[in-house]
Amino acid sequence: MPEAVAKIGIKIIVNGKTCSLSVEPRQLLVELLRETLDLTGTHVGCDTSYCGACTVLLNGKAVKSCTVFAFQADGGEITTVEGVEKSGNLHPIQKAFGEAYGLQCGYCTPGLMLSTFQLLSKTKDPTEKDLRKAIAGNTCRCTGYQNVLKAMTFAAKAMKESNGHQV
Amino acid sequence: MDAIGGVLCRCTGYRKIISAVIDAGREQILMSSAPAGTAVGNRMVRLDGLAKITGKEIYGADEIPSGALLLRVIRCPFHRAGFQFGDLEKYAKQNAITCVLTAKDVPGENRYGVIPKFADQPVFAESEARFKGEAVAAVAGAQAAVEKLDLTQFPVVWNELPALMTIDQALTPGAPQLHHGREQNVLVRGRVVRGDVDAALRNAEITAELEVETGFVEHACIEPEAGFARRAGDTIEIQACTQSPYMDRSDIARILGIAEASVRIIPTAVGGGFGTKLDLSVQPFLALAAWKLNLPVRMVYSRTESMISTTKRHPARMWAKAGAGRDGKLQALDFRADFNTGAYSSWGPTVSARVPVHASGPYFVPHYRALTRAVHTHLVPAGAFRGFGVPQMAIAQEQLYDELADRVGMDRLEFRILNSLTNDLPTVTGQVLGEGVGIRACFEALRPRWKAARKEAVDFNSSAQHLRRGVGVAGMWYGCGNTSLPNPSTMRVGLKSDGRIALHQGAVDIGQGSATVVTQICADALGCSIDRFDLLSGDTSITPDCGKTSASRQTFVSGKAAYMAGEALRREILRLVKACDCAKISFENGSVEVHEDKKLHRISLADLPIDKHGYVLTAEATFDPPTRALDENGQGMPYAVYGFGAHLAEIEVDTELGTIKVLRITAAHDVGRAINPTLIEGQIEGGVAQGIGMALMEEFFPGKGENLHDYLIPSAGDIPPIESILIEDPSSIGPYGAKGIGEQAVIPTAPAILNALHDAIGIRLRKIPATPDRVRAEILRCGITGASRG
Repeated sequence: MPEAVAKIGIKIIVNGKTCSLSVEPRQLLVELLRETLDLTGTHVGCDTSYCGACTVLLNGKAVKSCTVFAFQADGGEITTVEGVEKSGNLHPIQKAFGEAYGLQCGYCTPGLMLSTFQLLSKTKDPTEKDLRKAIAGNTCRCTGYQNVLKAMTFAAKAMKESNGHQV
Repeated sequence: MDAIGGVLCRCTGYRKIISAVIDAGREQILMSSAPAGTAVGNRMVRLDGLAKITGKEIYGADEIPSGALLLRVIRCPFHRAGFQFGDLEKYAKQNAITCVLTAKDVPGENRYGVIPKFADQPVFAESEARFKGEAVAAVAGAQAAVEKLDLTQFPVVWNELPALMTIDQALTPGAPQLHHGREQNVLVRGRVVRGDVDAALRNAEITAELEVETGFVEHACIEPEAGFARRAGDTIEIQACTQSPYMDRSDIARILGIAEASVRIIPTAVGGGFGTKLDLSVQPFLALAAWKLNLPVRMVYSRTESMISTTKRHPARMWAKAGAGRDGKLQALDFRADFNTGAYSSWGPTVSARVPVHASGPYFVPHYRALTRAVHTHLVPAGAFRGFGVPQMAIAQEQLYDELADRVGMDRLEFRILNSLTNDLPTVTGQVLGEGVGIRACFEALRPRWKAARKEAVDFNSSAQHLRRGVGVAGMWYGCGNTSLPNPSTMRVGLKSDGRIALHQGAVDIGQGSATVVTQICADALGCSIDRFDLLSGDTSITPDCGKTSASRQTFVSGKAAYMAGEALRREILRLVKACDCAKISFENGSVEVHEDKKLHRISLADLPIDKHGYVLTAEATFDPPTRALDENGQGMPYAVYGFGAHLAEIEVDTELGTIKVLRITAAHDVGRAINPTLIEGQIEGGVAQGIGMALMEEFFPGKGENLHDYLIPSAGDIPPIESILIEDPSSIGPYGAKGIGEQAVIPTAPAILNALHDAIGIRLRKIPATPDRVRAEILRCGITGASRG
């Protein structure tokens, strides 16, 4: 039988909700999100922190949740793609990815949107270089990135026009 | 834009060739609705987009039925090995595993394959594993117990055997034969012959010859293969990511020894396919376990497992010689290619058949011989990857034509324009297409940028030191659909009593947007706004067979079926009120109005009986594109429709480092009719990105680097601006004139880049991709000046 492993109690805020959980020390944040909390919008692509499909925000910073242990998030605030909408309305970044066709299969899209989120929360007028750098850790096999960059530009514009109220 | 101007001022005379670049449209937000009858040609937002931006989309790994067991597979760690199991029962008991599965547990045939005639791949190897990563057994049990297993401790004794790693080794007389009946390990040969190539080459005033090899290329879909299966009485249900639910159904039925009607395939959203998800992956293991245990079973491939066990692009070893007159007219091409097809057949026969049909490129070549072989080795099976061997072939053929143009002394683009296939000239299979041959328009659309880019490169190089710029062009043609084989799609469309339309469309959308495209087509054929449609997609229990998502066939074949089904439903509605064909229909909630001259017929849908499909009216239509078998010389009609295209690559080579930076790609494609220009541009941009990867960085070495750190694919920093130019030279067979674009998009990029490399520094590599080490070695070998600042 599998041996019992001592679990660790953690308290995290996920998409605005406080969760008290007990996790195995080896459990990855992505496993916690997908399996325990059923937030399957965060995807696993490469297992080794290359592709960025598992990107979430931890305390406002984009992290690859396949390379963060769940217990490391203790006391932190996590935003996944499911938590980007505000009171039932799409976030300007989500709107931009839809309206600029910044996706094809959509598997990498949540990660790309959260990397965009991090960028635009700090940089109101990103240059093309800023955009490319912000998604350097997000791999997309379908789009050739053209419409992703366009979506990021749309989002930057929309967020600037709304004076950042929606961020 | 200059490039567009080139098309707009040009006309072939009697046909309208429209450039639909709609550059302004690039800045437009996509349309979420359009008035009835105007969806086709518009930049409609994709219908499945919302789920993808909210994280609600369900991919292969996203649903776990309660109580599901976890399954893991034991795979051969050697390229070739015999093996014997130890005490499996004891192992299961000791580790609290619910069951261990091996070949003995396969109730039906332990064999599958995408082409039934060649099916040769076992679910589990029986006595010898033929490639590193081949499955020999599986374990299923509670998640904690199965996750905890160290599979290297699985009770199996391996006996490593000498493996055939290369085409040469496999073809050596006396080499071990992988499969009975496939002498010298040749799976299949392909052949297209026309005219007298030997005489034509002997007599040609100018000839050029070239040899080039390519490696395995990994699809690297960001979603690894995943899914679950469960048994419901006498039915097995498999929910997994797939490009080919109906083929999966046939194979699973054979493996389990049950009727196809007892297999239900529920495709999830697909996180990238590109051809590799046409073949079975997790499905047979899941089906076997769930069937045997009568419990739900799930599995998710790790990245490494995906890379070692799923199909790759075929490595190709190619030789070609071409001849032309001093006037620049192509006279002959002799082409040979061997493809390393790996341990099992997969799509090897298709690659071998497609390449000889296409190796002329989109040009008129009167004397022609193209011979191919697919050769088995003890390596991971090579299968379908966007273009079925044609992208590799184009690397040889398009570089060769550049050489020929140089020897003739012609501009490389003008050489291609001069030799472009036309509506009236026969292809190398003797087919006269008669319409829709838009290749010349594609090349001409590139002319303005070609001239400007060439000048810019010359100016740059005149003052540059170790950086050299180059410009390259390459053309492409690609037949849509299966090669000389039946290829039908069936669509069903139903009018509901509330006035909404149900479209049962079995074409799996793997990200390219086919669900949106077929709905746009059906909506316009019916004369109804796209907003009224409810989609029922790709579940073998609720959608008729739409074949597989491959061969650039969904817009063309399934799209045409959707068109016919939409038209048929329209006729059914008109028949109800005996209205003529010219009547207009408008759809309201709960009713349909038919306007005929000054008469208005109002049909109250609630008054109509419900048919067996649950609708007040149902129409179904099947389309199978007309083709004709190829004879022993490959003469016939392999495809009803071809797509055409040409790419222009501008690059910068660092001669000290051997690195290549792509500065810009201009891509012109004849798509017949751009049903949704935004989705087509998306296909082009994605195809270009994969072409850049294939040209410059991507090579999979079986047994090494089985992860996405060692196997590099382009990231955002690797992809330059891409300008798409859409040419619409319609095919009367396709829906609204449309042709395919999915595979067409990837083909010309790599050869255009390699031609640009030659333009920049005068080298041609024997082995592709053009990685910095290979480029630098060739620079040193050739003693290219400017290679060192010193």
